[in-house]
Amino acid sequence: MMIKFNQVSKRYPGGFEALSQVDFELERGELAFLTGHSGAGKSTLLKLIAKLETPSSGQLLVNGVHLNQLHKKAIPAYRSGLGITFQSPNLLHDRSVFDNVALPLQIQGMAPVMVGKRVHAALDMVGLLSKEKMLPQHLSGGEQQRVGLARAVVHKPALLLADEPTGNLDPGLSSEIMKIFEQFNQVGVSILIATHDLALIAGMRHRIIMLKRGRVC
Amino acid sequence: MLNALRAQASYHVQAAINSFNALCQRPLATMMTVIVIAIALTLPTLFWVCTDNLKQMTIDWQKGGHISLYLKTPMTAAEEKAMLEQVRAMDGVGKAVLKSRDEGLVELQKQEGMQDIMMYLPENPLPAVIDVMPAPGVNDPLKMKQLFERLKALGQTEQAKLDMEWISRLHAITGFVARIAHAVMALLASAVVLIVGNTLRLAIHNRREEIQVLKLIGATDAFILRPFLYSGVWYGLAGAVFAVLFVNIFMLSVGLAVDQLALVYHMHYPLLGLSVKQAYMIVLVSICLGWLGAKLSVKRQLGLIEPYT
Repeated sequence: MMIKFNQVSKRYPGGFEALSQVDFELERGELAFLTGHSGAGKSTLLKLIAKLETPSSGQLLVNGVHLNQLHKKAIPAYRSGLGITFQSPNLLHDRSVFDNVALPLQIQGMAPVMVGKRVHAALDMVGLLSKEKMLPQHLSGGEQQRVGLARAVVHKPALLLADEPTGNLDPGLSSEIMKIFEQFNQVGVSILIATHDLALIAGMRHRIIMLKRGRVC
Repeated sequence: MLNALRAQASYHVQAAINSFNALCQRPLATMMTVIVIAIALTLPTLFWVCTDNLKQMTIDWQKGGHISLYLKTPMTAAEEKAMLEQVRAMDGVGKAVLKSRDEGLVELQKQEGMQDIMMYLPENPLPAVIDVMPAPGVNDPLKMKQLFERLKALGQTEQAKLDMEWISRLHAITGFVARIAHAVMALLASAVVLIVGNTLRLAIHNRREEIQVLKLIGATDAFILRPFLYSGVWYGLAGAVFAVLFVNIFMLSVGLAVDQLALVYHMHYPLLGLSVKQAYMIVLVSICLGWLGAKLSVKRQLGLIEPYT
């Protein structure tokens, strides 16, 4: 079991309940889509998994870690075991594509020679090997998204979380990105992708988890 | 294990180079901060150099603080000689000169008007005197006093006189100046910590987004702190180098004026500049202060920044 939600609720200050009593599981090696209207709680669910938010009630188990009991000091180590990519790729604009993708490995303290090999492999997978020396702002939106993807997988995480990874892209680029996700999934990475683009995922044979007003249905 | 250490070391070197480059990209802002730090360091350093010079000067002056031993009368010349040797052999005695009774009389008679008075005296009333200059190590009132007590306890001493009052005063003055210097040092050291802290607080504010991204992908606080700590170290180092430069320029220009003044009084006071050891010391202390300022300010700020999505 990669992810297990057990009666998880999240209520924000002010009373808004983004998630109520959510139960769902993601198997190891599974790729699943999380969908629903905006405001249905997709982002909140991903934030809970990334330990960016804490549940108001319920149990949350990710890759063998009980997130409720995770100490603040242990959060960085936990997060460095995940791959996270969001709608805005969150790249550092004063560093080259290579340096951006290398960050997770540098955080782990990997030897620079190894870093080079791994970064090149990740950039090769997303088809951006030729642009490693460029700065992010000189890339197109789709390319930036792919750099973010390369950064999310360069350290070979067991679980990859993606929040609207195709949100800003045209349909052609979107399906291209989805193909990359499927490639990762084929090498064993568990993936949870939040998206509202039903047309895009309808043609793909993966489980779809539907969220409606904070509940799984 | 060794490889992991080597990797860590290479990341540290990388972080140091990166933060150096980042500072160089904003030369004006960096320079202003560095100069402010340098000025904050220059003041206590000048105090330090000045107290050193004062000490150097007063070592010469303390030669005036001598002890006169008046020997018992009558004593034979051989006894006086033996006494002189005994005094010379004592610990803490730099130089001892015997002035015999006859020499004392001759000296006295040379003074205006004394010759007439001497004529009325049946015999030489003067005792033999041993003038004792303390050794250079005996440089504070307490040691002086101890030496004086030991000399006084010698059998053949009738009376001993210690010319010490002004040495005590001088000592009090140098002590006072040193005390002020310490207070100024402490104040300005905390100024350096605050300057670096405040500068980096702004730097953190400007790099808020970057820190959020780093936290999101699992960077530890130590990893995020690293470049800022190196910035603090660079600020400290550059500030210290400029401070050493400022102090030396100041001492050179003051040195010329002092030379001219001393020349008028037919004296010579070679001014001491900053020694190499002192310069190293300032650089080291300043680096530590820069590091501390960065650590204190950044660590606090970092806790306030949480990643967003």
